[in-house]
Amino acid sequence: MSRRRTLIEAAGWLFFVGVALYFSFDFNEPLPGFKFGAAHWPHVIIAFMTVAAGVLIAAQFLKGRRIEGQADQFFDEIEEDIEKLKPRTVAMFILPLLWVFGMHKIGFLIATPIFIFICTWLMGVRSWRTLLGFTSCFYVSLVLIFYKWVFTPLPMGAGWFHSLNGEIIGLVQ
Amino acid sequence: MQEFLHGTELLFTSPIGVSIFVGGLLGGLVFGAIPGLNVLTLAAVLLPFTAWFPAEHAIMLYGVIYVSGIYGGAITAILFNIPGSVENAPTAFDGYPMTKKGEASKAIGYAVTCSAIGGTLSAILMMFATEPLADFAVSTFGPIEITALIFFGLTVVAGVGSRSLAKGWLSLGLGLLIGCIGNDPVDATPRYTFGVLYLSGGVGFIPLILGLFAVSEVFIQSQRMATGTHRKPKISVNFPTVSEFWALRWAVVRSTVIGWFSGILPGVGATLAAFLSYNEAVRWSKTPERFGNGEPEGVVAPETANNAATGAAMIPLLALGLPGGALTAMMIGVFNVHDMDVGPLIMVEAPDLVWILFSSMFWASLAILLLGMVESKTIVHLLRVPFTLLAPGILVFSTIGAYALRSNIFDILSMFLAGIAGYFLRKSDYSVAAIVMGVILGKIGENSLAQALTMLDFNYLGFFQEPVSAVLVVAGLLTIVWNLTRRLRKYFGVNKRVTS
Repeated sequence: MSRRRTLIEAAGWLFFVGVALYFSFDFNEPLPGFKFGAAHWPHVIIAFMTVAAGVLIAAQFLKGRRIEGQADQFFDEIEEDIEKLKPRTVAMFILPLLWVFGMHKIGFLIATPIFIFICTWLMGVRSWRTLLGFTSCFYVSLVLIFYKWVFTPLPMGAGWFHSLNGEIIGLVQ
Repeated sequence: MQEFLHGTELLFTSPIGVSIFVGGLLGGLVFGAIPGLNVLTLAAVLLPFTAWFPAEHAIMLYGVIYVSGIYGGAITAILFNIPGSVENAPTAFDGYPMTKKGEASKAIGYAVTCSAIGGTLSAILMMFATEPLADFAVSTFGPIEITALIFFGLTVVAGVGSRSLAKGWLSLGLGLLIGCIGNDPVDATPRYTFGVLYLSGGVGFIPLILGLFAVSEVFIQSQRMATGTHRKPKISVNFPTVSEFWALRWAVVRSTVIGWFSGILPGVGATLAAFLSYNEAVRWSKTPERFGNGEPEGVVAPETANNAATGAAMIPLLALGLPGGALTAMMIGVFNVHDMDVGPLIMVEAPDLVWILFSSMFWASLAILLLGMVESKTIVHLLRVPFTLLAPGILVFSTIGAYALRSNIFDILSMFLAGIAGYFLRKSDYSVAAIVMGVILGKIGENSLAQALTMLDFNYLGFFQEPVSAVLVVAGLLTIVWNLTRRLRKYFGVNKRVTS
């Protein structure tokens, strides 16, 4: 890993602990039964993380000459090949967040088959038969296991969708 | 011995008893293995129905569910990086890398055998030493000693899963800080909640684990598929050989002891047992750098310990009426449903009940061994399903698992956010294992630290005045020094070779 990248990471951690320290003053008062107050433990952790970030930086300057093809064996050792994010992976990050939003609005029962279909497609399946077959089989199994046999409470959606989901669940059960 | 045989007779002479035993065994395995369907769910659902069972069958059912559920959670941890419950999280640290190396069957073999050994030894110890050991553990380990024990555990955690010591420390610190979110344990003062009601209960531990392990794994594999570097896991059905087990005998003994003592401590239980045992396996190993990359001892240690804790948890429950966790607390409920109180008199008032519980846990541990041997050769074939189809399955099951516990949509959201964070942290060589251990040990540790400091009049040096805590704190400090010197020695060794 390049020294520059590691230094940026360490700076990021120092910023993070700085923010954590800043917000810890919101609850820094001594408590009746505990004079150190609620911020004592977070302050211990913040101090520890500051030392760790300092060690990460120090290690970059302590590093000696690297041997060709061999990792430096101090605090930060191995060259990590961070490949660039592919659009498909970015889409995989976003899709579940949209699914959560969808579940909240239209309920698990309606949002899930759409999610399964798109997720399978994003993972690289392009055959329509496989996409539809897998989505329907998996979805039916889910409904049977979690609604018919185990009665797991899952998001019901809001407004009109809440009633619709309730009716579908009633039919399934 | 006579009492044990009598308990076994009571268990197996009644067809209803046998049916309940088998049902509990299979139910625990299934509910333990599927995220979202943990054994607590099963135990809670069954609690009202136990009123219809005879008392000995009801309490036996809970003993069997407890034993088999803890093993069940290891299967998905090993195969898909989805721990069935918190106790199985450390199993995933090395179990899943073993799967990626084509050694899933071996990992399951280690898990099943060690679960059975841990559970059986624990059940035997439980039969012989319930009263004296409960007295010893409860009188020796107070908040001061528990804090020192956790400090010692945390010093070892930094070396797990990351090749950089500083990054291991930062990962641990991040986990500890995440554990601070929510109300503080002393006065319920809100910390880092920013006025959001959801955060006042703290970040859900199950969503965090599922996000950091399962969801981030799906993202990593998705990126590998996009770049054409995804490799299918090799499938083998090799059970570990006797010599492979023999090589790990000390790990099994050590983990049984750790699991046992953790199980006895009220409020600590199988979770801390599994984490501490994993830490100790790393600390005692001659090759600690192999942990997190598919080291069999990394599966053996937590699986032995969490099952060893099950029998031990019965000791404070039966001898003192103190539950070690949620499931043992429900067992008190089962006793109450049948108009009985647990405590020192239970051995005198209802010996049959106690011995049927002991013998059922013993036989359940052995039954797991048989079931698991079959399972290790069959269940690995799930890996033949292409990852393109497994990925949606993992995401959907994780989502159900995250939501089912508290029925809160924010748990799902925090799981996916943890998954995205986990992707970047893992790619940058930070240790998600250390984060998870930081959260769990930090929460238990802060609680006992607050109690300990109050007892010590807010003087940290007081930890050195109690012999047990002094030994543990010194051991922790030595671990930090040892970690630093080990790395420095390697560093100077490399530079010396370059110079010469």
